[in-house]
Amino acid sequence: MKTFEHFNANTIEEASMALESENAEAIAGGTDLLGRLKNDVLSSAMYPKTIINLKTISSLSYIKEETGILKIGALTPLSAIAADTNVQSKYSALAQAAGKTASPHLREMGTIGGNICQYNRCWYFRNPDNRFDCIRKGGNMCFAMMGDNRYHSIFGAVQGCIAVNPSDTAPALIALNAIIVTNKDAYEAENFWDYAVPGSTILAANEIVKEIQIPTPASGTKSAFQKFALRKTIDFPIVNCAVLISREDARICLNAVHNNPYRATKAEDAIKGKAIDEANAEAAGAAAVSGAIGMPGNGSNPGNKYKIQIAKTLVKRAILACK
Amino acid sequence: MPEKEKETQDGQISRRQFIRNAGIVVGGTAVGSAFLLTACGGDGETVTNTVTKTVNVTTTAGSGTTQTVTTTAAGTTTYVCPYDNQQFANLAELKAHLEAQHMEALTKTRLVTLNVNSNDYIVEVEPQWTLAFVIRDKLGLTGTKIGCDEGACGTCTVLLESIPILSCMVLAIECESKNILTIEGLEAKDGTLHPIQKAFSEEMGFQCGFCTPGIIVTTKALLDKNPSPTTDDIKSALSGNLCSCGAYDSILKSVLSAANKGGI
Amino acid sequence: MTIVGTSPIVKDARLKVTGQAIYTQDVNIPGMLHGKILRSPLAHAKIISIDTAEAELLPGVRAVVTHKDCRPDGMNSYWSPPRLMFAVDKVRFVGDPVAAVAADTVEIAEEAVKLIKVEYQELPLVLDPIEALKPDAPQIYEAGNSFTMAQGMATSGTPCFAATKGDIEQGLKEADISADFIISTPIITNHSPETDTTVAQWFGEQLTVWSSSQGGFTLHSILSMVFGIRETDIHLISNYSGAGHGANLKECSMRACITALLSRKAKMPVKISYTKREVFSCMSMPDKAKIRVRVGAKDDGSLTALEILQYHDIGGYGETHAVYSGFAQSSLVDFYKCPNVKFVLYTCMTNNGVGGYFRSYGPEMTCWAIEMGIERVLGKLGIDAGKFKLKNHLQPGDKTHDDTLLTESSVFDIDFTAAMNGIGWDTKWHAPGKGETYEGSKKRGVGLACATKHHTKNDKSVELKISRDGSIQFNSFPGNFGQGIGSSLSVLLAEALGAKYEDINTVILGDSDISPFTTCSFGSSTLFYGGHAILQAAQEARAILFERAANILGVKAEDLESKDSVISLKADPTKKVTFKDALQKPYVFDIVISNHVYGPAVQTNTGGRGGGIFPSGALAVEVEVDTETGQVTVLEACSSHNLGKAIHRKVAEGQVSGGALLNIPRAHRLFIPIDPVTGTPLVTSDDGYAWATMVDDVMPIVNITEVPEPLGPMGAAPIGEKSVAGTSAAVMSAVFNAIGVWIDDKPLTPDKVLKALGKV
Repeated sequence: MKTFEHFNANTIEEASMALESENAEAIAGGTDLLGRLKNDVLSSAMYPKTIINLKTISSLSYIKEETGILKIGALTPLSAIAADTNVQSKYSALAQAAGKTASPHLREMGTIGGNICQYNRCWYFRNPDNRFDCIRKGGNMCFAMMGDNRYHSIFGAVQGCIAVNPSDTAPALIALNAIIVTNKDAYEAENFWDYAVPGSTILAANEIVKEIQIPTPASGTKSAFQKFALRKTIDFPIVNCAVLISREDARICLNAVHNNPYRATKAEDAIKGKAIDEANAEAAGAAAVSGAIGMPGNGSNPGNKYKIQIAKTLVKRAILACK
Repeated sequence: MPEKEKETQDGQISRRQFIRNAGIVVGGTAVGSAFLLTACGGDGETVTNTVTKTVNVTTTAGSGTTQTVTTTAAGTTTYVCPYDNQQFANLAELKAHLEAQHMEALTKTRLVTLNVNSNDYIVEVEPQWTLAFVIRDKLGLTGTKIGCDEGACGTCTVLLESIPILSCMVLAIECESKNILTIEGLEAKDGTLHPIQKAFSEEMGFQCGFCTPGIIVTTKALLDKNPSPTTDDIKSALSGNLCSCGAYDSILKSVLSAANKGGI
Repeated sequence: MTIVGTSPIVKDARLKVTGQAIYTQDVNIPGMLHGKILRSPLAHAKIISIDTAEAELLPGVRAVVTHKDCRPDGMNSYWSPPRLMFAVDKVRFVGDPVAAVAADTVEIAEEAVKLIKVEYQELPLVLDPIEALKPDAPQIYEAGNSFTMAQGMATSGTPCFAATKGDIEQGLKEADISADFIISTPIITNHSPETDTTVAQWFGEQLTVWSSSQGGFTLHSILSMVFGIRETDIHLISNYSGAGHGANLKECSMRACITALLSRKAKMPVKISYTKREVFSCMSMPDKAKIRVRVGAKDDGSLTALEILQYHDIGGYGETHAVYSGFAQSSLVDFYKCPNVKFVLYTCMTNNGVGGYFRSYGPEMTCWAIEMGIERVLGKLGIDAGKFKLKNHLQPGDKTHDDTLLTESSVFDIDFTAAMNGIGWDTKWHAPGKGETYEGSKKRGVGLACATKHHTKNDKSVELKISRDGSIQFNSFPGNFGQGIGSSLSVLLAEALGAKYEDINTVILGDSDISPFTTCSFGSSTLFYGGHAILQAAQEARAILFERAANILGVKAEDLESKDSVISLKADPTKKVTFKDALQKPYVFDIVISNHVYGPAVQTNTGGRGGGIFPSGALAVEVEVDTETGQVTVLEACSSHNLGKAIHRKVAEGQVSGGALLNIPRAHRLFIPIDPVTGTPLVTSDDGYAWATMVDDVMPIVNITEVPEPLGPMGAAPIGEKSVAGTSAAVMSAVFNAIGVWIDDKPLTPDKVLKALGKV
């Protein structure tokens, strides 16, 4: 890796101020950042001059439930979230999502804050030495469009980019109605991710996630998470899905299918208030992907229309898991 | 590097500060002033210098009596360079001075103390060096291997405060004061193999051996937490460790053997 | 036998479980510089100019080299076609080495590489072997895009190898049912776990190299020809290496040459440690092929014709063995009894990465194609392919179409039966696609394939030393990459000498200065020939020991026996001397025996093209296909292999279990996608490469058959490679059995499965 300055922040304010400098980046678990830096994914002009360590800020790692709200500190490791029995029983989708992210070691190192802020995994974007200087990085082409896009967006491009959001916890947070609290503001989870060059969130340069807040679901509410990947460990999702079903309400969110996590409102309408059975769940699955186009194949590129079938299936299975 | 010194003079407190975590970026890149201040004051010591003066004021009362009243003037803050004690009126001027005059001192290398296998090592570390690199190349502990160098294979696993982590994805400077256990730390001081190592020996839980240190260290963390794991527990705990020889079966048998024989 | 067949603790156990085993990435020499290679980002381009001036000026840079620093006649002829270590006038694949830098630190070297300015003129590229042979394809070499054994590069479309028996067209005419299809294998990598490394240091005109390698003196001959020095001027130390599965055979010579060149110029030791990306995309991309199969059979399944046209893609450059891997298994075309067979190999150059070979080169192409051929016609006929194969294969004593004799160890009946029983074949086979549905959407099926690989005849040597204190050492040069050879040879040695296994205390497998000539470890030959070498050496040593003991005891040598490193009188065991005693009197003595085994001399009657034997093996699997997601899961696997005699039991079991386990994912999820526009590999590390894990892959049930191979040392048959054979064939047959639809292209990823099921 090329060198950089390193600064241990003592408080969020310090970290925020430090992030105002040119080319400063925050490091939490480091599992995304260091990979990016080692591979020189972005141009040299964007290589950080300073890395600001958030782990030295005390009291940002906690899981507590207070008066109807689950509060998780941004620096809480994914392993702790996955293992927490309260999260497992009342906020199941999140525990399942955290538990299926990456590998055991990475779950110990990776934080929830880092997981929702991670950069996309498009293999053109990520090819080492900035081999493909794409739209997302300020270039003028999306190489996946004419290349191999088997893992890319099935709902078309956003500003020319078809890379997907790779987070497993993101759809769970949306399904669970989470609020993401930063040092500047608080956002509904659904509004947290946004196409940005080259990152994936709406955070300003000096904005840091502090806490995730999830309203305690009413009794009788169930949530579930499904992940599809080639392997059961290590891999990023090809498609994933989180679902929350209460007596009257349904919240369904797919991810790895579009630029941002994809709230499947048509699927929600299809299942709201209905019995959780095979037929209804299947209909909801079909509704979730209505509007999905997928990329056509060409030569060695198989395209990604098959993801539509998988997305449909995961929605169905996640709903059935909420029975 | 200037050493810490305390000097007190009448009315003036001056301290030399060993600038750690300087954050004063080379090349003139702007860093916020508050940041600079905080960075310099990380230890609770400050490069600011508040001077209070005792002032004698003599006034003559109307009736011809002289009175002397003693007051204290409000303090003025000056900013003191820790290297040469020059004083500046504001932080911006101090920063400019540091960057102009003391660039060599603002070297990125930092002295850190790493506690590895219950030994303290004092080592100069550049900020971008990973823990894997430092323990292998600077401490000479080459038992920890580097596989993919990007957190996807589990080969470089060490225990950081008893938690199995990927040392290639951790910055060494962030590991100060945390106890680190590598493969070298498992055997006893007299060379007796740890029960886990013994089990892997007897069951031949390896072929080429490259993934073995990472797997044994991960196993230690597992058995410390869960001394009687099921097969699924073991598979799950080792699901982030890749073996290119496909020796998973004998690895599983080795861990079960270690657990059965009290492999803590 | 008291030691053979047991599992004493392997010789390098302590080193490996303590982390003390030194791999080349651990080697540190005082003053050592770090090297980095500048590689072409383009798949096909002319090099217009190379400007290294700025790189040379960077502080900390000690040497920069390009093709200009190479001896013009220093070609590495272990490449097809032969090449210098750097591209000269054009680059032919993404990653083609163009220059290299040695600097004080890795970071400086990386920065310097970026300062080297190369001007390229892009050329159109071709990434498909059949396309590459078309007349209008981009010409990668002037002569054409075909490589042949006879003439090197040749006109596109010239076959590299061909073999025929009978009349294919006639056989197809006679068929009641036939199939004609094209199948393809993807790009994969050899997945070495370590970042393969070489360190080079010159002492005058003598060169010392530490390298991850698969041993042998191949690297010597390459370094010798490239640098124009004598082989005895080269000292190669082959440290412990991560499993290379063949990657470290020849490509490592490129790394070694570049490292040595930098070291010579900088006059300092230099280390080059590949990044994972280089390991993945620049070392070895094995078994990439498109294969056309034409097959005909009668209604009862008996084959009338089988033709295999294999278009083997060896990229911009291939290693020589990559070429062999293309026809290596062609002897087996009529393994399932077929009167008319034809095999044609086209070795095609494309702009893909270096054509290499993966452990068991050939089975994932040729044997797989053979199995797919027979499975297709049997599938159409609704015949149980496993049972059919069991009854319709060649037997020990039979010869294949090219006169390769199947020896007594080719007991496929036993291994097929054991594999099928292992997974409960009889209760699980059903007509294709007609099995039960589980959990609403999951279909299961079973598949069986033969798992064999001929071993290659080559040379192995062992030098045995019994020291004056009775301790025993031996050295050879097969390299150290997990094959368990040191311990297996130790077991043989202990058995043959009548020594304690524990008394064999030093086993050196990677030092060329002390080892007699040995070929590198490939072709499942090390235990086979190394075993003979060590047994013969043991015999000679034993004779000397007994003579000296007889002298001391005043008896005849033929009245003695040895056990546990003690020589005693058969008639009266109390009359004894230890090995040590025997070497102390009447004068102190070390016994040193060097023994070289010349492969072809061991076998004179197996005939055929390669003359290698085909000990039997089989793999049966049960798979489950989730028809709603396309996910293929292997539920059970049984790998049965005849090892002749399992010399070290745990080593043998590890080979059988590990081989099947690591190779099964190639059938259904392992591949590297290539960008169709630029030819760039899109997966460059473990992140994104679906290698086997603890939680994804079933532990194979292992059955070890022990029908002795008469040509083997103590009856042992080769095992190293065939343990990975048959995996794709078994899994893909099982998927067909599950869903009743054929998929032509490996791997069977969800997109392909869903498409086959009409769900896309």
